[in-house]
This record gives sequence, structure tokens and C-alpha cells, in this order.
Amino acid sequence: MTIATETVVDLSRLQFALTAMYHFLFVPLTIGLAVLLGIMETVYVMTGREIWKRMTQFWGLLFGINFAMGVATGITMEFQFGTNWAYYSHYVGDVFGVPLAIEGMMAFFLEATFIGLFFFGWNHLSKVGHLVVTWLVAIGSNLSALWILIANGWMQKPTGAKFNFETMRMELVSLSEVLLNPVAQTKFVHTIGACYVTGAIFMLSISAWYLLRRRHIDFARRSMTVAASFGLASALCVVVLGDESGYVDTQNQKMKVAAIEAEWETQPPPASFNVIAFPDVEARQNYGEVKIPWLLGLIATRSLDTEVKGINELVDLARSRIEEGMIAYSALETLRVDPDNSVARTLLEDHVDHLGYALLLKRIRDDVDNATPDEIEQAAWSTVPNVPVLFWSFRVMVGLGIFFIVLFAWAFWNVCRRRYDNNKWFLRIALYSLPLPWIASELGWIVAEYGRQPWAIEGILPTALGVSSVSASMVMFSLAGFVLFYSALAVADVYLMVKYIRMGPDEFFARRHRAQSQSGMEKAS
Amino acid sequence: MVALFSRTVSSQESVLKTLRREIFSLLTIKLLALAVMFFIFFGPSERPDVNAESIKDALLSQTEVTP
Repeated sequence: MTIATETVVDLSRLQFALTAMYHFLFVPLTIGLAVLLGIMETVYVMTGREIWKRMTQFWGLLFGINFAMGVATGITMEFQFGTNWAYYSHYVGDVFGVPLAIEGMMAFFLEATFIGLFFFGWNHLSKVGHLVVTWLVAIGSNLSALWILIANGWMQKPTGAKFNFETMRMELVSLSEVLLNPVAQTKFVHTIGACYVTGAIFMLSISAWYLLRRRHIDFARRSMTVAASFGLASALCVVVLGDESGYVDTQNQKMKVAAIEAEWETQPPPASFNVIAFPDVEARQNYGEVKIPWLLGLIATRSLDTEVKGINELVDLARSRIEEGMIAYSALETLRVDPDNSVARTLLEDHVDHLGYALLLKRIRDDVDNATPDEIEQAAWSTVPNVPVLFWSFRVMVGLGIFFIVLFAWAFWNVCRRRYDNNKWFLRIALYSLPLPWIASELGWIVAEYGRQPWAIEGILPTALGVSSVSASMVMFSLAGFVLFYSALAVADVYLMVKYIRMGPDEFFARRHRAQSQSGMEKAS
Repeated sequence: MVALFSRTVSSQESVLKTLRREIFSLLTIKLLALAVMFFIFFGPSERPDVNAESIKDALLSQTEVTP
């Protein structure tokens, strides 16, 4: 087998990115709404007021549509691991596969089982029993995200694993290190917070639409109260936890942080923050910078005297790591021919942390041991991700995060003053904000994953070497299949959502009541 | 009388039945589409055989190394 061509690498990356981004259209709403359903049903059980039960059932209906459309859309990524990313799967599957398997066996089954009871158990379970079921759905969906983000956190900061030259793969040595990986923990709470914001904006926007049209007033007011309170707390958490995520990244993924900040040169501490800049990748400098002094240093290092390393300095560091990695690479070649060679074994053990950097040279030449200084320089610069894309994606995401805080604070203020429906501007802004949390989530994904490039596993395995040598046409056809399939699902999801939102809770429950009466009378006759 | 009323009510669409029908049809179509894509593009015959030797061939240089 040989290394995949550039075309296959690019197509495989595009395919995985598209399927992940499509999948993530459904996920945040499922996770966010599940917790909101738990909150509303808890109020119902505590107060006994029927309106809260109706709210749980109606928002539960929209949750169910989204769950049904989204479920199993993530499985296509697992298809791709076996076919397009076979080298990746072999190289890191021993570690990466563990959290994915636990997610499937534990979290997904928990969530899927109790979703059935949630929908069909209203007349068969006690109030408290059904409430427990609803919270188990919410816990299941959150646990699902936890295991996926533990797997993803390991890609950002590989820990608890060791390279075995005999099996040519990374092998798990400490499950607890993988589970307690600080990158995974911060990613989990930040991502979950963003999902809660998505659920709250969804509820806020639709409630605003009902209030604008003067329909389902009581239902919409109470829903808006829940969305505003929960949304404000979640939006504040997302910003705080995002800051924590950035702090952890500064310790572990310095190049990603430097690229997000378009910081070419290391500044004297505390570094200033570029609010606006136009990075020129060719010239390796920025134009039109608008800076806030000290801010980056304070956010990224939480100190006044710690540097945030710039791209140029990090490339120098990458260059020296490539040179050390070449020693490990050479020792590995020797060990594959002579496994008992103790000198090679010692050399590999001493330099194995840099082996991944030597693998960057594989895209430039086959015999890595003979790389020239120019080729090493080229490989070192390949560690820099796409600066303009990261710089602007991050800023738009943060801008949207701040907007959500303002929107929820405004909503909360209105709710506290019982001024739900006489502020048309607020209601319109709340309505048109509906797509924004999805945009913010996708941009967050771009910052996290595109910012990890050129690595599939940070510092361990370059993305290009994880791709199997499959044919470009095969990837292209399956990519086209995915685009059609997911687009059709998205259209069906939006169609069903719009249909039942337009119908509204009153008509939905009236029709449901008629159907139940009819069924009762048929039984009686 | 009850039978007459039942017929009138049964002419009205049951929202839950419609919803269930829509969701189950979409789920069925989705699972079929996933199965078709799996067998055409991602089935066992499409998967490269990967082991320590093939990884070595991909990651290490093809030139002969003397210990």
C-alpha cells in the first residue's frame, strides 16, 4: 500500500468535515432541548399545573422530530473510519475506539431506550416515573457528547498512550488519563453549554413568533420564561468555559492559539489582542490591526509575565522537533528489520515524542532520513494552520456568544417585568436569531478541528498519513451520496418542524384529544 | 348514535397517526439509504486490509535498511 494522493486526502477530509458538520446540525438541539424538557416536566410534577405538561409534550414533539432525523447520521463517520481512514484507525484505534465504543454501548442505548418511554409512557408511568425517564433521556444525550468529546480531546492532546513499534500503533496505557484529559473536559463543558444555548434560542425564537402572531399566548410566555432564564445562565457559562478552553489550548496547542490570534511574532508579555486584523499568509504579517493591549496575555496565560508564543517561534520549535523525530524515524526503521537492536530501541524511546514530526516529511519525500534543510523548513511551515480562516471564524463565534448573552439578558429583563409581547423589536430580533447558534457551533467546530491541522492526532499522526489509498472516484461518489442524503434529511427535518410549529400547541392538543376520544368511543361501541 | 359520531370523528385526521406515519416512513427511508451507502461504498469489500506491515510500508521509507 502507498500513501494516498493529495486529491484523495482532500476529498476524504471534505467528506468527513461535511458529514460531521451535517450531523452537528441535529446534535445541539437534541442535547439542549432534552435538558429543557427535564426542567419543564420538573415544574409540572412540582406544581401539578397542566400547562407545564402540555409544554413538555409539545416541545417534546419537536425534540422527537429532530431526534428521529438526526439519529444515526453520525454513524456515517464510523463508516469512513474503516474505509477512508484505515491507517488512522489502525494507528490510534486502540485508544480512540474505547470512548466511541462506550458511547455506543452506554450513552446512546440509554438515550434511545428512554426516548421511547418518554413518548409512549405518559399514560403508563406515574408522574415521577415519567420525570425520571425524561431526565434519563437528558443524561443519556449529555453522556453521549461526553464520550465523543473524550475521543476528540485525545486527538487534540494525546495522553495515556504509548507507541508500539511491533504493532505500529499507539496503545492504551492509562484509561484514566484519557478520561481525565483536561482538553476533553473543557471541550465537553464548553460544547454542552453551546448546545444548551441552541435549545434555549430555539425555544425563545418560536415563542417570540407565537407572541408576534398573538397565538398560544400563555404557552409562549411560559416557554419564553424558561428559555430566557436557562439561556442566560448557559450563554454566560459558554463564554466562561470557552475562556477556560482557550487557556488549556494555550498550554497544549500553542500553534492553534497563535493562528487564531494571527500572532506571527512572539510579543513581550502581556501580549495584546487583535480585535481586527487582515493576515497575509505569504508575507507572514497582518494589515489593518486594531489591538487591545495586554488582553491576549491575560486571557491566554492569566498572568502578566508569560509569553504567548508567535507562529515564527513555533515554526522554529517544529523544525527542531522534526530533526529529533528523524532520529526516532531512523531507529524505527532499524527496529522493524532488527527488533532486538538495543541501541535503536533506546534511540526510539528517547525521541519517540517527536516521531510524528518526522512523519510530516513523508508528504515531501519518501526517504525521510535524507531530508534536506529546505525540506525540513517546508515541513516545519506545514504545521501552521490556515490563519485567516481561524482568525475570523473565532471572532465571529465569540461575537455571536456575546450577542447571545445580550439577547438572553434582554429577554430575562422583559420576563422579570412581565413585558412579554409589547416589545415588537425584541420579538423580531429573537425570531431572526434562530439560525445563529448553529452558525456559532459550526464555527466553533472549524476553530477546533481546522485549527488542529496538519495533525489528525496532534504531534503524533499527520492527517494526510491517516488516509487510506482508496480511489478518488469512490470518495467522490460517496461524498455526492452523503450530500444528497443529508440535504434530504435536513429538508425533511425543517419541513416537519415548520409544519408542527405552525400547527402550534393548541391545535396539536385539540386534534390529539379528538383522536383519543374517537379511539375511546370505538372501544365503547 | 355513537357509531355515527365515530364516523364523523374518524374523518378527521389524527395528528398523532400522521406524525407517526411521517416519522416512521422517514426513518425507514433513512435506514435504507444508510444501508445502500454502506454496501456500495463502505462495505467490508471496500475496506483496505490494514496491519502492522501495511502501516510500515505507508509510513516508513521503501528503501532497504541495514541494521
